[in-house]
Amino acid sequence: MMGRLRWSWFLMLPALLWLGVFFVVPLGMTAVAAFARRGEPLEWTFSMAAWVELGRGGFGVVARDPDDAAAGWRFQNEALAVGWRTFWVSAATTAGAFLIGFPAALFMVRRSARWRRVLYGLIMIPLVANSLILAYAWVTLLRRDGLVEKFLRTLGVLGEDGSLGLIYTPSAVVLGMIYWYLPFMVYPVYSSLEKFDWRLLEAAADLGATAWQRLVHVLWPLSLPGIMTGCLLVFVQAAGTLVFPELLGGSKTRLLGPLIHDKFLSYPENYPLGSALALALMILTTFGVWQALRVSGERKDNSVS
Amino acid sequence: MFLTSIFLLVPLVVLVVYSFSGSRYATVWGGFSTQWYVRLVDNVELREALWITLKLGGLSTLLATVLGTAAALGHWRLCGGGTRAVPTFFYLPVMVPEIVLGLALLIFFTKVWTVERGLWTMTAGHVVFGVCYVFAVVSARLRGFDARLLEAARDLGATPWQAFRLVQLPMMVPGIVGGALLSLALSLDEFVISYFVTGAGISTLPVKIFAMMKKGVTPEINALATVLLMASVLLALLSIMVQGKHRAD
Repeated sequence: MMGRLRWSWFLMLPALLWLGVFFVVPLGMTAVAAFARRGEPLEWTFSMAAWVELGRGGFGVVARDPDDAAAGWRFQNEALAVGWRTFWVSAATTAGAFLIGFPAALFMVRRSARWRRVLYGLIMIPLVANSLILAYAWVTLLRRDGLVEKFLRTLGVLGEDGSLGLIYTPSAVVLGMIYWYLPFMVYPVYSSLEKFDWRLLEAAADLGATAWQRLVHVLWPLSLPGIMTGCLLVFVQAAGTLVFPELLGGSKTRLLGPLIHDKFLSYPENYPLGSALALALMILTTFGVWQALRVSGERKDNSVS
Repeated sequence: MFLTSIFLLVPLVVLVVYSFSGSRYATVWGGFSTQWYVRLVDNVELREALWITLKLGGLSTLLATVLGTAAALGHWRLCGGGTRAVPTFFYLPVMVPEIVLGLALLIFFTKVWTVERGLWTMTAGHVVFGVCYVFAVVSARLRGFDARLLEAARDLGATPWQAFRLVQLPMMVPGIVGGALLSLALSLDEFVISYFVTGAGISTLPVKIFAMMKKGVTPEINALATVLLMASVLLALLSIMVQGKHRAD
């Protein structure tokens, strides 16, 4: 029996070693680098410089325009401003993916098996394609004098020289990301709806519930775990994305992903600051994943009882 | 759902249609032409990038498949078909944002283990996520394996090695092939990690495409994107077929 156990560990050892060397150690070093001194590009000397720089400007907010209250407000601190923008771009992506994904999953689950397979394949298209290619497809559609503007001009809705200024805005990033992350929303929602007992809706109808009441009081609570999982999956991934803000967001829509990228790959590099930002992102997403696992775990317990 | 289908299909249809445009501009239709595909074949830099992408995909898939399969087998022998004790460790790399994995490896390869960055550093990164997917797929396959079959084989006079090779291994093959295909598909498409840990002058196809896209929009990129899209779809279909065929058994 001892031999059998030893063999089993021996089989797992190479993979564990690989993950240890090329995953655990690098992540650990990233955490250390956030407290190291900036050098060429990094010195292993303790320093809080990155965190001081992160906190520069304090955590207060100021008016965008002192004379115009309607112009809104912004964070004085750059990292916080970017973090806040990342948060609401991810939140908008999640909301958009839900608004498209939930009805789609609901529609799919009520079709025949053959139909379902076709629709499922359709929804999963973004998953098999490359994110760069999909972002690029949206660039050709949304850019100035792009196909959307050309189409509207042909219809006469838009003037000959008119432009909608669609690309290089947060909305363009959100649109591209909804497209790319839709499968991550549809899949968990679809799986939870698949297990849903549709006779419950009939029962509710027999007891006099209106269509709205059936949706809100029966279908919604029972599909909530799947929805939560989908939302967190989309949110967590959208928060760390690089490709979509780089290609569709331009320089005005700075998000956390491109900001981290610049600290490592653009001159002047700042490894400690980049590592500190990465740590912040990690904490945000780990929290999200943990929540997603907890919620889907609860669902399993519920289905057993 | 009709609108959703349009939303999903329009960008891709437009992409493919305009790759056959004769015009120099990606959004002007200049009559049917295959000139951009011809240009693509003649592009030496792209050919080089494709070759690196294929080498990287092959190397990392091979390593990930061997390591992941061995680990899945080891884990199965330790705790049988138990689904409870699935080591979360093997799922961690997939949960970490790609960009964090990329920059962590960049720090590692510049400040901890200083090596010249290139094919091998990218391989190291690709194996990290490849191993996790192979482990997950092969583990799922092993979960349905009845350990008593091995005992039966032993009772009939097979050595432990024979029992494994003739009874357990054939049953694992679909999982191994499925995991390897998944790992290959992800490696060929992977951009962020390669971008972070590649060396000067060494580009994979996605890294090259990204550089081209940053420069501007040309039908040549459309043609390239179309080819890659077809390749991904074929690989996905192949993977589904391999898994589906064996699920029927």
